Amino acid sequence: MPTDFTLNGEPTRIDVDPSMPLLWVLRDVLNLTGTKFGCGIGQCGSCTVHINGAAVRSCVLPAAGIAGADVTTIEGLNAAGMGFVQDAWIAEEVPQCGYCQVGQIMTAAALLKSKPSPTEEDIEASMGNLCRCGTYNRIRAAVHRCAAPLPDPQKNGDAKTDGDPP
Amino acid sequence: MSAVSRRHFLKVSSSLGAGLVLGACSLFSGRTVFTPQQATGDELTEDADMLGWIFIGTDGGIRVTIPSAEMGQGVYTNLALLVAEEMDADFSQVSPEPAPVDPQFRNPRILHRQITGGSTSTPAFWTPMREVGATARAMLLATAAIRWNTAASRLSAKESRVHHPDGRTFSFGELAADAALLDPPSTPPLKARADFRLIGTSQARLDTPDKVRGTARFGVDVRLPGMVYASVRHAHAFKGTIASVEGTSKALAMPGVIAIEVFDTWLAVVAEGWWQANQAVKSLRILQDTSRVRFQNTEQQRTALIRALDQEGKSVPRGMMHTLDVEYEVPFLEHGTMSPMNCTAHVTKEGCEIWAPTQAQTDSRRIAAKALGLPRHKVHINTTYLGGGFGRRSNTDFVKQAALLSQRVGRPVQLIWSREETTQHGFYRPAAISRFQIGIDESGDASQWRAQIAVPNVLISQIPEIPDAVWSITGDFVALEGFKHPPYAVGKRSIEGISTRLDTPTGFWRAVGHSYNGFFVESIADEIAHASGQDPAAYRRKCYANHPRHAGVLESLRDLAQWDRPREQGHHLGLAVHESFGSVCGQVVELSVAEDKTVTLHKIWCVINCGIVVNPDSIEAQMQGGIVYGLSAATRAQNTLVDGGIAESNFHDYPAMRLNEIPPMEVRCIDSEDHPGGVGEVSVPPIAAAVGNAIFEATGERVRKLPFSEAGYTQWRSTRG
Repeated sequence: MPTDFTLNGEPTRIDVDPSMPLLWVLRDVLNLTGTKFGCGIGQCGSCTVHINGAAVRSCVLPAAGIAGADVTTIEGLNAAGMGFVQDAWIAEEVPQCGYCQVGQIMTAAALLKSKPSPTEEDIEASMGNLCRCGTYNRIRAAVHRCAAPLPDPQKNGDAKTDGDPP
Repeated sequence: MSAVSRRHFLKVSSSLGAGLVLGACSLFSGRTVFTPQQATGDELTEDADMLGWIFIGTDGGIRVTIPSAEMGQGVYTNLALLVAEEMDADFSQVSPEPAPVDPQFRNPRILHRQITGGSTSTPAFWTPMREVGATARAMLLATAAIRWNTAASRLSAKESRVHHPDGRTFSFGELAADAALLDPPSTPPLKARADFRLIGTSQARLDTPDKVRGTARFGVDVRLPGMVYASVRHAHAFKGTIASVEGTSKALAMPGVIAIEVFDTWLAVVAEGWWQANQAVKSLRILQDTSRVRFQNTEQQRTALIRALDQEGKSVPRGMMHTLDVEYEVPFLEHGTMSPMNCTAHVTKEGCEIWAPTQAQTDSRRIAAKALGLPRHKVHINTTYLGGGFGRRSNTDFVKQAALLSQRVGRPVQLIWSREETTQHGFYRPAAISRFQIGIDESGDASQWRAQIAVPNVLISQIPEIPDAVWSITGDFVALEGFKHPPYAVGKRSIEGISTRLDTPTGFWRAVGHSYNGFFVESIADEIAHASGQDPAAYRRKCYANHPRHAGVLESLRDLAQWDRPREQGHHLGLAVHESFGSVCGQVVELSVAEDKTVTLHKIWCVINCGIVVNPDSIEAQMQGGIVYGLSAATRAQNTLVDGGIAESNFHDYPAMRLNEIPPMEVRCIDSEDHPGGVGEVSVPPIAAAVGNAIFEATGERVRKLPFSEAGYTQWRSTRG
């Protein structure tokens, strides 16, 4: 049975096994490869997308569950007015391997939409995605940067404390 | 790249026997390393014109070929930076391109294979990449000199332009086509350090924009016309084989399923989508032949290690002021790359095209060619971005599988392992047990140092063609790295490594032997200091009298962490310094421990001496990342053997640190005149010991077995400020 939903602002219809997780609908059916597969059990957050504005782990969300929903993926984040989050990620030089970062950015964008000036506690409560490269302190700094934009810090060879609130 | 004609094709010899190409091709603009459109069937034709170190476009774009795989360590940026420095190029015009498999791109520091590992990329290519840049610069200057009818020595270059003293300029793009017709100089001079403009300054990573937009192409993002997907399962037990499979006809009838392919130790379902393939493969029941399985559980493996140590024997020094007689232990560890194992292959009549997130291009090609029965030159390896490497992707098991599956089904196949298969069928950081019998004299020196370690051979999994007899002579230097030459053994020493077969496959894991030997030796150093009533930092300072780089790191660390400053009530410090991969790294951890053993990490300070600093921000990122990686391992990670296979399966039972647990860190690079050392792995070895030493300060409990969770330290948190 076809399922209708909105994907990055576009009306979209899919006709797949209703139990197929949204992650694989996006990646294999709709060919949007920005959203990543990490664990398949909702543990790591690499597959995070927005469903009606909320961060959701798409690897455990069946296709049947998105009927009528507004789905935003990394491919549509900029058009949704949240490109500043990606800019902050660039400014803080967050990614290393980069595989989890799309999920991190989508999680941060959802947080910032509900709480434009998140506290440390808000960030710790919301930013629970895994990053095996260990970019956590730069993720924290990038979220803070979104809340209160600062000029580019002068990065030089000497000591610099990362991850502290600006 | 067809615009690069052979007429414009130059090859020169550098120290690598490198081919330098200056071609009149129009490059894609911007910094996109990969675009999805590039992965088309027409790349199946071998194009020798692709071989070269630099392509300069008439539009000024400079494409630098990077022999190492980008797995997060920043190598695309840092090696391109070396070329741009000597070339006097505008770095914003430079884009990195992964190298195809070719002898000229071999890593001179690792068995002359094209391989990324051992933190060797910058040390290995420090001189060759700069020579490539200097050669290109000399040819561009010579071309401008001809046009202006002057001597090249009067000209200078800056920001991708050649300057005449009278103010005239040419862009590199304007000169590229003619430059390609010149004979390259044999020994172009390299810059003096004082003339560096890029090296030593923080430069933004070239791969960041694609990675935050979701357009960076990882292995799983390759899309080919007609491509199908595969999910794999292995016989659960190591050394187990597949005896029979139940449920195949039902699985074949599942939607989208194309084929079930069964091999000796693994099988795969191929389907129109990966989820369908995985659903079908999960539905199968595998009956194993376990007749070759020797180890059923972790306890049997521990017994084998202890028996090996008992056979070696030990003797506690006599007549000493203090003695230590202690045993340390670490578990097997899987890498936990964020991206599960994967590879895409397309086997045709002409050969095989492979898209692989691999650290080992030469081995990938050899393994695939052998499996397919093809000559090696018929197999082409395209290196994608790696969703984490940490050493796991120096193995080629997944490459071989993808190639075989594509051959069987006659279509392009993208193989993706589930997280469960990735966790349970890795090449693990070995488990190890070590024993120390230390005699400390009146002056507080460890003048008697006896140590034994029983550990599986790491290299044997990587180079299986070398017989055991050879290993028994050479020993496994990787498993013992960091154990053999402790700076604290100032008198008589007797240090033994016993290679012990446990059948769990072992492999390179970020810092490999150093990851546990750093924990052992730096914990023992702390034990010696405490046993003899010395401050751990003061004790180390004394031992570093003949180790100037250690001493420099220690003094810088004392200053950075303000080691001697009184701490808040309940806060305690732990220190560790370890040399690995040509660099020395030291860390101080400040933590507190609650009654219920909840550990709060307050701050971590890190100092590294890695020789000449190439890209400071990149080093800082690697220090931060390695510390988090090492913390995950030390605090909670272990792979246990049950029924001959790994019990843990996913991130719920093989967990890693999350953002809320990581404290602020402060990193300092000591700049020096030494040849660049490794960076990617060197912050892993000290962290477990630094934490353990701080826990001892806080509680008086010396934890000698990792992970710390086994000793009841199961809750970890951080504080800000």
